[in-house]
Amino acid sequence: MLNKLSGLMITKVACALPKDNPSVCDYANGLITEKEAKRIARGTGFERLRISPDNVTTADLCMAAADVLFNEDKCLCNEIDAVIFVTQTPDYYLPATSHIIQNRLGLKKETLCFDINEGCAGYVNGMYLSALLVSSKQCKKVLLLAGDTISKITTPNDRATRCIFGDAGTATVIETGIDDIAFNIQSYGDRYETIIVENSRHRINLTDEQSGYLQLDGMGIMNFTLNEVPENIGEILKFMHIDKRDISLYACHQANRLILNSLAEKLGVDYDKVPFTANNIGNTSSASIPLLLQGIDKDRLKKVLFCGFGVGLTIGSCIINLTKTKFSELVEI
Amino acid sequence: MEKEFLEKIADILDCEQELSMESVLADIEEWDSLSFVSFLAMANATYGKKVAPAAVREVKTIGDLLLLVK
Repeated sequence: MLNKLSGLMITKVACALPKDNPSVCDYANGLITEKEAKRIARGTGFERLRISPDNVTTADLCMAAADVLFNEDKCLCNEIDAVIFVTQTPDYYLPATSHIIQNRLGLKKETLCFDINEGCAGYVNGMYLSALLVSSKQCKKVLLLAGDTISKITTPNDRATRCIFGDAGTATVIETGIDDIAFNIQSYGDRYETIIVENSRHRINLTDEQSGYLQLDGMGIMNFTLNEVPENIGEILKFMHIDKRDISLYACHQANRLILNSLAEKLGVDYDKVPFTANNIGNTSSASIPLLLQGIDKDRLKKVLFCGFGVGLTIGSCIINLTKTKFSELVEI
Repeated sequence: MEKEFLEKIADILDCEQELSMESVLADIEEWDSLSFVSFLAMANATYGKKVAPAAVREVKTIGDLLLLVK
C-alpha cells in the first residue's frame, strides 16, 4: 500500500515507562558476564532495560500515557471517536483489550475499539488505520495506543532476546487537520518464522516450554532490514518527490544501534539523521518511534520519516509533519 | 584489503587474541550470534554483499569470511 491521506494532524504524543530500569547484565542474571554485557552494549547499544513488574501490563502503560493527555486537556476524553490498541501483549487472549481500555479510560460507549496484533511496524500500521478513519471523516479524533511488554515473553535462558527488549506504552492523538501523510506499508509473510512466538494452542500446541516464548532469527532480521527496508524508504521518497537529504529526521524503529547505523549507511545518510536513543530503555517494539520523538529538537520535526520494520515480517513507513505536535513529559509507573 | 578486513573483524569480535586469516572461528569465544549479525551488517553495508545466514554458519576461518565479501 503506497498512498497519501489528507486532512490530518498529529496533535499529541505521550509515553509511559515502567520505573524498574536494571542493567542488561543484572537483568540477564547469570546469562552473561560484565565483560560480555559491555561487548553487547557496544554492538546493540543497550545498557539498561525498562522492565515492567508482573502486575503491570501493556494496557496499563498505554493508559498511563493516555491519562497524561486527558489531564492536559479535560475535554479530550469525551471527544475520542476510536481507540486503536497496537500490541502483541494484550491483557487477555480474549476479549480485545481495547474494549477494556474504553471502559477504564471512561471513553463514550460509541467509541470504535480495535486491537491490532503488530509489533515493530505497529506504530505506522496503527497510524495508517487512525489516519484512514479521520481522513474518511468517520472520526474526528482517534486515540492510538501502541506498546508492548515483551519482557514477559522472553525466556530467562535466551541471551538473544533477554538482553535487548524493554517495555513501554504510548498514546497519540490523530485528528482532523490540514496535513497530508504518505504511507508505504508492505508485508513479507513468507518470512513469518523470523520473529515468532509459535505456541498458539491452534497451529502448534507444543508442550516444550520454549515454544511459548519469543524466538528471533537475528541474521534473518538483519538481512531484511538492510535489503528490503531501504527499498521501501526509497519508494516512498520517490512517490512524494522528496530527496533523501531533505528528510529532517529518519525516526526508525529502535531495533538496536547496529541495525540503525547499518541502515544509515545503506540509505547514504549521516548516523545522526537516523538516531538511536533507546540505550537505557531497550527495544520496545511499537512504542519505540514515539519514545524516540520525545527527545528530538523541534526544528527536526518538519519532514519526518517514520519507519517501523520487523515481526510479520512487515515494513511500515510514512512521511509526516510534526511541528504542531505537542509532546508531553514522559511518565513512569 | 586483507589488513583492512582483519581490522574490521577484530572490531566485530572485540576479543583479546591475535587474529589472522588462518584463525579458526570455532576457537574464538566471541564468534557468537552477535558477531554473526555484525558480520552480515558489515558485508551488506560496507561491501555491498548480500550474504546468506547459512553461509556465515558454515565458515571455518577468518579467511573464509573474506571470501564471502569478495
